[in-house]
Formats: sequence, structure tokens, C-alpha cells
Amino acid sequence: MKRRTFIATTSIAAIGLPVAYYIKKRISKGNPTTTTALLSRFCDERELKEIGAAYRTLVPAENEKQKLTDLILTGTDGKKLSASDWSDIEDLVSKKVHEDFLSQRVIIVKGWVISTTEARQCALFSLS
Amino acid sequence: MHIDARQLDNGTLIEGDICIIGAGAAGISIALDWENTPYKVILLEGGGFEYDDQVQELFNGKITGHPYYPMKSSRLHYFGGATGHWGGMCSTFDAIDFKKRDWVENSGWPIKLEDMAAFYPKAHEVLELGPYEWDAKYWQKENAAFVSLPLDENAIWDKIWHFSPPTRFGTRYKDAVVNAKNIHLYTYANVVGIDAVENVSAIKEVTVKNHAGKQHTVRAKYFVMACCSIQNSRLLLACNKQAAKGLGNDNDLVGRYFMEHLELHTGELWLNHKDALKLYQIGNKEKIRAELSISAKKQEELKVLNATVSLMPLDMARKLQPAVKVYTYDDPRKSSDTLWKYSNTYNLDKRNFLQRMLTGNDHNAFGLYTRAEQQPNPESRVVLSDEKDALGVPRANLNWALTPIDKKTVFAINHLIGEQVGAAGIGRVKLKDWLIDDTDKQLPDYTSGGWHHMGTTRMSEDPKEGVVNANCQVHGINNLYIAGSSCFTTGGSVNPTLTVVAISLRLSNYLKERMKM
Repeated sequence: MKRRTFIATTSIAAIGLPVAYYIKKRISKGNPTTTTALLSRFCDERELKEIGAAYRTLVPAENEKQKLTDLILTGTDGKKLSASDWSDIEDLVSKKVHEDFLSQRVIIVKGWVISTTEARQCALFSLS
Repeated sequence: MHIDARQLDNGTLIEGDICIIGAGAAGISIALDWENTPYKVILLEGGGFEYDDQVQELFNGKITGHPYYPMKSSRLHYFGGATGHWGGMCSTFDAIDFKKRDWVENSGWPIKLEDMAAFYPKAHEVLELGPYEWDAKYWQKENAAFVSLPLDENAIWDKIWHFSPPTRFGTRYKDAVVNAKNIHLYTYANVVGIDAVENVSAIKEVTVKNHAGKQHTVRAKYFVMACCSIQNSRLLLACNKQAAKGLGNDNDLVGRYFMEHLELHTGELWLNHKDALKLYQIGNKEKIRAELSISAKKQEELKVLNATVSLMPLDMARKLQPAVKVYTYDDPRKSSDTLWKYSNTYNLDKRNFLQRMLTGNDHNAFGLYTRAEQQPNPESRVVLSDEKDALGVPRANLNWALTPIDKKTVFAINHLIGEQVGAAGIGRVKLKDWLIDDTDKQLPDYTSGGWHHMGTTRMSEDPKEGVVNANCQVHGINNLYIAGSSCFTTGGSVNPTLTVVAISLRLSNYLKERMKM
């Protein structure tokens, strides 16, 4: 139920759809700026928010919604994604997470070895 | 041939070509390597063929520094030695383990992995391991279920381990030793003194005693000490009548650089799919498994020691207590009872535990169990106690001391696995809180050893840096040799028994050549 609540909250806030069941089956279809596709399989809503809050403490310069959103949506080439289509954002985030690990843009938050992008997603989620 | 030294007339003179002190894995391996040679081998064992608490008590001593297992129960004092309770896990050292690493203080053996190449296969046979194959790819051809995690092998690679039955030398090789015409096994023959010639350039004889009040003398051309790291150094230090600091201790090195493997649960691996990870589990018919090992390249890049991580289903890993908290009894016979008592506390009965370990069910979460090399540290050492044992030998006390690079290493391999698992997109790794606390540079108190005593008479060509030379000869004493893990300059990350036997067979080979001269 926690995960369902978590994703539904972000999804409803974004597009106003009752997506709880849908999200349970396809987590990646939540708001991709706040939904960590892989980490949310292992952590419930509370844990994800704790990770997010911890990240904001670790990196106070990013403790702001718009800043986090911009960082998440900016590609490694420095260009900000203009597309509003969630699948495009999802692709970008997925690629960034992979590149983060390959480039050792990795951070430990609440014990989890995660990509910086994932940490920012959690941070944004914790502010929602 | 077997002789109970308690039954001999007091003051018996025993003579042979080679005298091996200690009948554990090292001593028995050497003795049997001399079977059917024209040379008379004297094999001295302090205990008998069965556990004897009075003899075991001779190993008692005090622990200081990092918490450790009781001295009395961490080794077995009877024929077969510690193989009487070992787990059978075997793997080879890596090439980097022998090298001088500028980021690892006191590293660098005077020999290379290649120098061991001829002896590892022989040791493999002695320990009754399967095919001499150490490449995961070989085993993956043998068993299609042995699938590797898709990690970059330049960072984390699959290090293969073999499982011995485990070979209990005390039973497996008893008949071979006793029936060998040229091997003279003396039980209840505790060496309590080593006498050198006047200028201490050679050993003349050793004195043995037992609780029956008998004392005998053993003379030989060559003497090999093979009674484990703590007892080897204890005996050398205690023999201080002709050499004030003890035999071979002109440079105050005997007893120093005691090393263990640092073993503890360090994190969790969460996979995005269920998997048995059969390559990494025990219980397969091939009697092998892989552990995740940090590459030599990454060790150098991150300036850390060698380390390896095994995987255990998380629900079980969370229930297991640190070994150093479990094995707290002086009496080694209580060890297995204690383990199951702890397990039962967590509703983990023995049968269920073993079944779950061996059936290889799918899981999506695994505990990470790290086994890391310890940096050689001169303050980690065996010293003599003021107290003497029942046979009049000063007891050994152990100060086990770790250094910050030990924790740095444990962190590094787990973090690296986290990065690799993330890059592969197969899951995530969660580290223990203490591991990421960079305000504390030391490993936690419950960091356990693997009962792997190493160092104390380390190998170096320079007498100022080591007690024995590349041939395991004590510097300055031309007929005194040391076998086993006390010669290790560094400890690698794997259990030492295979290397103990290999390096002992290497010494044996050298002595055979020398005997011919």
C-alpha cells in the first residue's frame, strides 16, 4: 500500500489520474522526475522520502524543487530536455542513471549506493 | 611408525635427518612428502590422536587489542591440528598478493605467484579438491547454471573457491603417517626448548616434554617448525637463553605482523529479479563457488588491499551473528553447539538452515559477506606472558591490531560492487551504517577473524624486514626452517590452508635438494 500511495501521490499531482493499480504494475510509468525506476522496487515510500531528505541535507545547494527538476531534466551534454512526454523523460532519466554509474557519479544515501540522478529524484519526491 | 613419547624412558635421545615440529596440515604434508625416501623423518606432535583438554590448555593465553577468539580454542592441539575443525574452503593467492604495493605498508614477498605454481597443484591433491581449475569460465562449461553477474571484470571478478571434504588430516593421513617406515611420529612430544650451537648459527637439538613428566631430546640435521603462527613465534621468543631476544629475533620481528582475514557482513545486494545465483552458492556437485573479488587494477587505483565478497540469501544472512560473538568458549568442542544455539535463538534450526543454504532457491536479496586482507602491522603481535604453562613454557598473548586501510578496503570493495551492480542495471546495493561512517576509521568490534593465523615469522630476503628468507629458513640459523602461514609476508584475501600446504611442500622440496648436497 505504501508504494501505491507514494506513486499515486506523485502521479495524481502531475496528471490527475487515478493510477494506483496501474503504477503497481508498471512503476516506471509514474512521474519520472520523482519515480526511481529501480530503487522503488526495494524501498517503500517512507524510505524513499528519507533518502530524499538525507540527500537534501548532504547537498543543501539542491534543496529546492525547481533546482532538482532542472538537474534531473538536464542531460549529460548540458541540454535541458524540453519534451513534456513522460516516456521521453523516462528515457532520459534512465540513460542518466546508467551514465551516472558508469561515470562514478554515485552517492551513498542512507546506505544505498545510488546514482546522483536517483538521489535527486528521491529529493524531489520528498518535497512533493 | 608411531611412538607415544609418554611411554619412552625418560631422557630418551631421538635422532633423525629431519625433525618436523607440529603435525598439522603443514607438518603432515611435509612428512608425507618424504615418505619412501632414505631419510629418517621425526614428526613431533604435542597432543595425541584425540582431543586432550590438558594438552589443549597449553595454548591458553590472553587477548588484547581488537576482540578475538579465545586463544585456547582458536587452534587444535592434536594430530591433524586445526584441520580437525576447518571448513574446507580453498582458493589460491593472486599474483598481486606477493607483490610490493607502494600503498600497502610492509607488503612484498621475496617470491612470486609463479614460484608457487608447481606446489599449488600438489596441495590441491593433498586437500582432496576437484579438478585443478580456477577459471569461472571452465566451471560455466561444466554447469550451465553457473551464470556470472554481469559486472565489469576489470573491477570485480569471479574468484573461484574449491571445497575440500574437508580433509581432516588427523584421520585422513593417520594410517599413511603411522605406516610409513621412515616417518617416526612421536605424540605427546611438546617442544619446550630449542638449543643452538654456541654461536647460534645452527640448531643442535630440541627438548620435548609431556604431562607424564617425561623429557626427551631430539637431534636432526634440519628442523622445521610447523606449529602455527602463534606457537612458532612463541617458541622462538621463549628460547632466549642463547639469544637474548629469542631465536631468529635479532631484529625484533618475531611475533610481529600477526594477520587475520577480516570477516563480517557489510551490506545487502538487492536484485530486480529473483535468482539463485548458483555460481556464488555452496552445495553444488562441483564443490566450487565464486566470490566477488576486487581486481588488482582497482586495488591499485583505490589504494586498498585485496578483498572478496560472498553472497548469502538475505533472510539467512540477517540471522547470523558475527563469529567473534558466537565462538566465545575456551573449549573448542563447544563451537558447533554454540553456532546452532545462536541460530535457534532466531528460529533458524540446523536442518532448515542447511536445506536453505543448499537447495539454491531463488532470492532477490542477498547479504554481502566480506573477507578482506589485513595490512601487515608490526603492532599486531604475539608476545610472551609472564605466566608459564604446565610444561614451563611462557604462554603466548596476542595483541590483534588493525589499521585504517583495513576499513577503507572493506568499504571500497562493497562500494565498487554497488557501482558495478548499478551500472549493470540489475539492482542496488545497500551498505551497513558503520561502513559509511567516515568519522570512525576502524572496523567495528564484531569484525571477526577467520581463524586464519598468519605472519609472526614473515618472509623477506632482508633480515631487518623478515624472520625467514625465501626458502623459509630463519635468517642466521642455517638448519632451522618454518613452515606454514607464519611465513606469510601478507595474507591475501582467501583462506590460507591451500597456500599453507603449497608453501610447505615448496619448503619440503627445497630441503630435499639441500639434503642431497
